[in-house]
Amino acid sequence: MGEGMRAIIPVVLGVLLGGCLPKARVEQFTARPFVACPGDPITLSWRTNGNVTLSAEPTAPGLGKRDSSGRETVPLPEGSGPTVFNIHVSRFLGLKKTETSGEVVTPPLAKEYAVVDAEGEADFSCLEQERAVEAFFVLDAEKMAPGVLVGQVMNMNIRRLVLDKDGVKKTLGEGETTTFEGMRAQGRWSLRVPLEEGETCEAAIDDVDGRLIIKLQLACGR
Amino acid sequence: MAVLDGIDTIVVLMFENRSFDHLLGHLSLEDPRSEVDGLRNPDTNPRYANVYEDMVYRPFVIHDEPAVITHDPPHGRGYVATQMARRGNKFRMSGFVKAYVEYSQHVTTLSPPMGYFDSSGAWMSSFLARNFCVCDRWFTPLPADTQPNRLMAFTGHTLIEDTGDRLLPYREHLFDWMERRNIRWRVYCDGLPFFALFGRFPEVIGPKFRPIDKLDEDMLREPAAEAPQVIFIEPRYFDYFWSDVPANCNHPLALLSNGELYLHRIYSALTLNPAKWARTMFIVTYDEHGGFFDHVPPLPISSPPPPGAQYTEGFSTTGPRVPGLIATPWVRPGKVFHGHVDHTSILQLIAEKFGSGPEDYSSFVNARRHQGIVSLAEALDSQPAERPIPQRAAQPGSLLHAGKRPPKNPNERAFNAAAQELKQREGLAAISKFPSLADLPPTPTPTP
Repeated sequence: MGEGMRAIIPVVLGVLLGGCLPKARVEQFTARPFVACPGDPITLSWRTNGNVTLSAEPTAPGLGKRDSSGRETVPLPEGSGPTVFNIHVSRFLGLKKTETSGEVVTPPLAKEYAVVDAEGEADFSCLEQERAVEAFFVLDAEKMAPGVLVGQVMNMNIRRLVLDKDGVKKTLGEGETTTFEGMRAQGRWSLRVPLEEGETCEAAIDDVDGRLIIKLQLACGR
Repeated sequence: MAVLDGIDTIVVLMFENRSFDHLLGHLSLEDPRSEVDGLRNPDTNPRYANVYEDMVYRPFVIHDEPAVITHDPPHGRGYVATQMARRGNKFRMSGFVKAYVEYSQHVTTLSPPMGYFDSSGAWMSSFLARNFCVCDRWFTPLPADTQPNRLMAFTGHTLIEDTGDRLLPYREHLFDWMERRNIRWRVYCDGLPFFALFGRFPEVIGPKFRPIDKLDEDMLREPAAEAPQVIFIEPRYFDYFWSDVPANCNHPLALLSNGELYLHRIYSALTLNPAKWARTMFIVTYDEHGGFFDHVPPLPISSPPPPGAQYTEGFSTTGPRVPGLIATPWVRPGKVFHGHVDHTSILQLIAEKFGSGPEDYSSFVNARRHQGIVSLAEALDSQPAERPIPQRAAQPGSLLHAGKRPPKNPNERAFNAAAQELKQREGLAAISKFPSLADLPPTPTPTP
């Protein structure tokens, strides 16, 4: 068999067989929490149908070839930029492959958080007696490392907003900032919009396009 | 309508898989005086904010498309529901990132469905919008993907609700409607056309389907009395998994730069003959939004399943907005048409021009018309704009392409099914018409 023939056979086989073989799939891949500080433990979790190779940019020690499904914890590499964890899945000697990635960002940074009035998302409560609309979100360990602290908080809504975090209440006008200096970002953030005279809850929610948004200035605690 | 008396030729170019804000939202960002309902203060305005796991994702400009769009965003019926984020009768249009992550497991701050092009990236679309008419209320007829929306465009209704690896079941094809009325029509193709998926193979290899290379010559030399009255321009589809030539249909991961160059090529050909151009209406749109963000909620248009449909749950709204451009001397430069249109507005237009009126196509199209979908004729002015034909120099496309690969997604497998059958039935005539069919590998068994 000539050199040319030897070179062309894998290509022809790939095209011919490629359509017959099941695809490589990443059913699930996460790198959590989304926000963490250098050295914080990051949990990688994956479920695929092929041979897995894990990697990170910048490089994280100990990654490499893994079983098709798994879960393990690695320290977040040092550095100020985001870390991208990659998963590469291969089947049938590489005839079928796919990849995806999950990003973990590192403070200091400003990041917006929000609640949305949509099915499967947050529930907005209409507080008739207090004349307000209220919703909340929870930054749990899947979303935020425990060592991440909050500095300033900005109201990104066109409405006055009453913020409640760990029992500390602050009222902010449109675009105003306040400080929750030294408080952990993890936890329950409650956002309340007082209603105007004669205004319905539905009208107030429409007024903010169904979203309540705040921007957190985040920092690493050490 | 008297204004249509000034139009002899209707030209339709339907690209693939980009939303309005993604492609044309920059018009209002770069010119705040613009009437276009596109992007305005996207870094702070809540209406553009998408939310995934409580984190906010904002629109961002795409400078390097291959580096940003690494996965094709999802756009099947279930994912579109996630994207449009319903609460009761409200749609928040806040779930494009959520759908993308659920589909791809890809989490990044610059999430691909939130990317948009500026006037340097979408250079030709932007040029046409500024010099002619942009429709900023053009919606996909259905909150679903390619095949049902293209069926809506070319038959006025759909018997299927999703894209599958099969030839398309259909009734009342536009081509038949035009044949019955002796309307001269033609398709120009850059490779195998999507129309092959309708399984009308003798027609596809017949004289009405011509290679795109002939467009210039036909525009210059063909007498007006013999020239087609309705022209469909087909791009080179990303679904040609057997080809090494870069696609220009704009379906990710095909690059927009090639689609923009193709758009420039078509516009240049159509304007070669000023006398013909003076009576031409060039319509550019997209089959569906492709999973890219758009901030405008869908229209409440009801589409129950037609008799014989392969689905039981009807549609209660349109899908998201897609880009819509009308280039013709019969609009003033920079016009913004806010009328509610979808792909069936093309059928209304053709029925209005060549039939007895906009309600002359079908009861399905009329049902949408009665719910507020208007004919594209309404975008035209009563007088042509007196001015030189606007021209723009071309920007280079990209040689990057996905290359030969096994067919992956349902539409690629549908193209494979159509190409295999066309090749089998029509043999050398098919290969002579579409030479790339010679490279089509033997039929692989479809993957699940």
